[in-house]
Amino acid sequence: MQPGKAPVLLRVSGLIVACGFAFPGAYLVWHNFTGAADPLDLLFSRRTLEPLGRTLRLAAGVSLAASALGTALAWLTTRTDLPWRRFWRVILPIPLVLPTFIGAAAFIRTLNPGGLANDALSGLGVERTFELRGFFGAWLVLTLFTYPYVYLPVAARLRHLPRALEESARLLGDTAWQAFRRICLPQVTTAVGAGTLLVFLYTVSDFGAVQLMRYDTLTRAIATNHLANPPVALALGLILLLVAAAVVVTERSFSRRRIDFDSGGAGRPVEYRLGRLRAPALGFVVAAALLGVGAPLVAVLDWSVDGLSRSRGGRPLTVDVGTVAESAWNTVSVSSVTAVLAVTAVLPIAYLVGRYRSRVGAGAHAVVISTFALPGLLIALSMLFWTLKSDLAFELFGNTMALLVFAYMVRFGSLAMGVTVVAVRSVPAWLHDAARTLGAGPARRFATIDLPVMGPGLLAGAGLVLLSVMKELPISLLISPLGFSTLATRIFGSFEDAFVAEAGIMATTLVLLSLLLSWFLVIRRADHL
Amino acid sequence: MPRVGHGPVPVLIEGLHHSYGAEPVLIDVELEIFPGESLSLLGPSGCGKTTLLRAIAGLERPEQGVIRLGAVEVTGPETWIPPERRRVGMVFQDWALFDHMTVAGNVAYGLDRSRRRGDRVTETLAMVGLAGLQDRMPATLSGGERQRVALARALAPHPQVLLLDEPFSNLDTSLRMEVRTDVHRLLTDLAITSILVTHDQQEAFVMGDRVAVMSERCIVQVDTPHGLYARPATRGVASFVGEACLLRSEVRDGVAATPIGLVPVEGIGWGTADVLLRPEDLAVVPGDTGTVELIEFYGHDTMVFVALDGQTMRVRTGPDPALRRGQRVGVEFSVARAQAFPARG
Repeated sequence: MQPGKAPVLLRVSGLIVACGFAFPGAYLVWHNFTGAADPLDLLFSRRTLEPLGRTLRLAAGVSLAASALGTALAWLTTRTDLPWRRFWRVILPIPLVLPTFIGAAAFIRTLNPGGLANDALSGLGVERTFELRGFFGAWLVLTLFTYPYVYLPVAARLRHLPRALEESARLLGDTAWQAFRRICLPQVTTAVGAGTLLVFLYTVSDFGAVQLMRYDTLTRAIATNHLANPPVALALGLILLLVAAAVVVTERSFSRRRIDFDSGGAGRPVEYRLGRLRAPALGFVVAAALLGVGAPLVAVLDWSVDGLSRSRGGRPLTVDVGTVAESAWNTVSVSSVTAVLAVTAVLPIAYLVGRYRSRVGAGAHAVVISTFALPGLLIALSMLFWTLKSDLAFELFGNTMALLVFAYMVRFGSLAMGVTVVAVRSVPAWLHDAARTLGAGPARRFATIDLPVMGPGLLAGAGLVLLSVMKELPISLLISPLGFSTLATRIFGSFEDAFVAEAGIMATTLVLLSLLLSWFLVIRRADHL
Repeated sequence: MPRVGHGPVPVLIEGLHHSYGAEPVLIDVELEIFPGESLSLLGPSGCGKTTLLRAIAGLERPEQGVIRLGAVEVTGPETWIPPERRRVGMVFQDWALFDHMTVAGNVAYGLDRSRRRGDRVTETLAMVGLAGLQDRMPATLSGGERQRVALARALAPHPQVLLLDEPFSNLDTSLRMEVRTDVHRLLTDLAITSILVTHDQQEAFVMGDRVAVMSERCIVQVDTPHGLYARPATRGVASFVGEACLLRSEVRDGVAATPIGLVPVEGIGWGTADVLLRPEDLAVVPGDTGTVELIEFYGHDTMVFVALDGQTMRVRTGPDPALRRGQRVGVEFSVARAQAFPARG
């Protein structure tokens, strides 16, 4: 049966949404070439090339380390007789839901005087303060927090590799190691590649960790210049945009070559015996989990205990419960509103693509998906300049929640897009046919068939957006309305100034919220456990 | 047994044309279904029978032609009544149950808001033999039960016409017979106008008061099951309904000279013809004209394959024909007349 033509209203709303998503990026490029200074001049000056070099160096270093770490952990937890594999499979993805700036803050905090690690070292008689700053600090934190981008797809691929492939290789005369190298490895390279590019993209757009580690990458240079020297910030933004675009183009060419297996009935994959290597392998996994999950959690907890119990400079620190509660409420409410709006916004496009195969829909879908490469800092920058340059925009949106929520939506709408299309496709056409022959009109069909069937999918999409907005930093920092603060901006701000008592408690709150929500909304449904 | 709302209505289809893009799927379809009749729409897959059914339901809008339900023109050059207002019940091939609703929720879906809470749901469920299952979720039911839920859901709002699209094809063989008989009995009791689409000749014969054979996007023949079997209109219908052996022969004065001897035929008086011989029209007799190739035992009867004059003749015999492979036998025509079609080319 051929799908009919999409209703006009649906196509128009799809177009409007796509224009909204395209706007920040387009404005940034356009503004660059209409400004006073020639961006091409600035593009090749030292002021831009040096941060670019640092960004690329950091991204390359992090990608390399994260892909090695992620692949090794994936193999160990899926294909070997490593002890407590199920436990590790639950633990190892956790860094994905922790914001990098909290990770960076936790590491710095714990090595500073008064921090847990510093105290421990003093106890051992080492009276020295380790400064975790610059390239190494940023590299360490970003590696530990981004390896799940490689770990998750590789583990999934390894687990779904049909058992028969390796078994036939063995029957054809390969040793276990040869079968692994000749059959297994080639099958996971695409997963490793795709994951690594995500890590690269994440590192390039990261703002929190490099800012706290004081490593002058593009994002940090943009943030430093955005008020004092807008043309430079814009030119830097353009470069960042180009880098991100290049990464995505590469990623697309990778994913096109992906092979899909029918994983049905594949059975449990072949398992390798680690033998004498079992203890060192376990040590490696424990170390990774301790550094990536344990250390940040312990440091954040210690930090919040600190805030509750200690005084500084003789002055007792009091915790202002109201501030914590207000920031937490702000975070949860703005995230929930954004999540609902984002799913609602992409739903027309999902219908156009999933049900009608409309060409307008395909274009709009491509626009929304491509915004996934747009760093949050650039969206914030673009919106900031827009409200500064245009009087009308300032009148309407300057300093408003609407602008903040819009920026969040553009930043994370692409996360909801994919899930929403799947949700729309999960409603079989024949259910609609059946409902029609039973007398149900369009509104009743939407309410009684579409919504209940799509419900879990839409919820998962909203959950992804919710989680991401909660830990978002640069957009919240740059364009929050005056007096509006989220947990993330509070923690970050307090860290920039000095250690404030509430910061630790807020960090703990944010981490717990993230863990709880990701458990309920994402992990519980995923099949990778 | 509760009766369907406003009495059975006829369905009339005239000059129906439809295509998907450049590909025609229905060509000049004419069909009349009498009030309260069960019509089977039989054809191979891809012949357009499901499209015809969907056009009657209003799920497909044909490019040309008229469809009337009772006195109302539901599809025509100027008229179009959407499916939700046609009062047509449909049982889908995979049943299309709403898995997120209970059995009662499914059955009540087509009822008016006021009647959803009434006893129509329990009544319909009892009618299809599912009393007491109203609070179950469809996913927890067996295939046969799901099928009955689909039927109950379609019947609950008292449809004028019931459409069934290959409703038994998702059941395994043993269950299929049982469910089919139950549905047959129910439809006969309700005396509702119904159209059943199937590619299974046996199903079409069992369920239909009349059978319409579709082939290549057209309706080729409409007749009672017996009439269709005995007097197929074309070679294609002959081989599609039942097993057939077509023997090329010369006919003189209504008698064909076939490899198994002289056979009186109807349909052609003189000339070259293909004579239709059904396995049950033949008998194995002592003789030396053919050789037994294969014997297939079916319990109630046995099919004997006899190689004769360069071709294989299938002969239906009693359960125990006392033959063995390789045996030399003869084949005899055992009824009064055979159907003959003028030879092509």
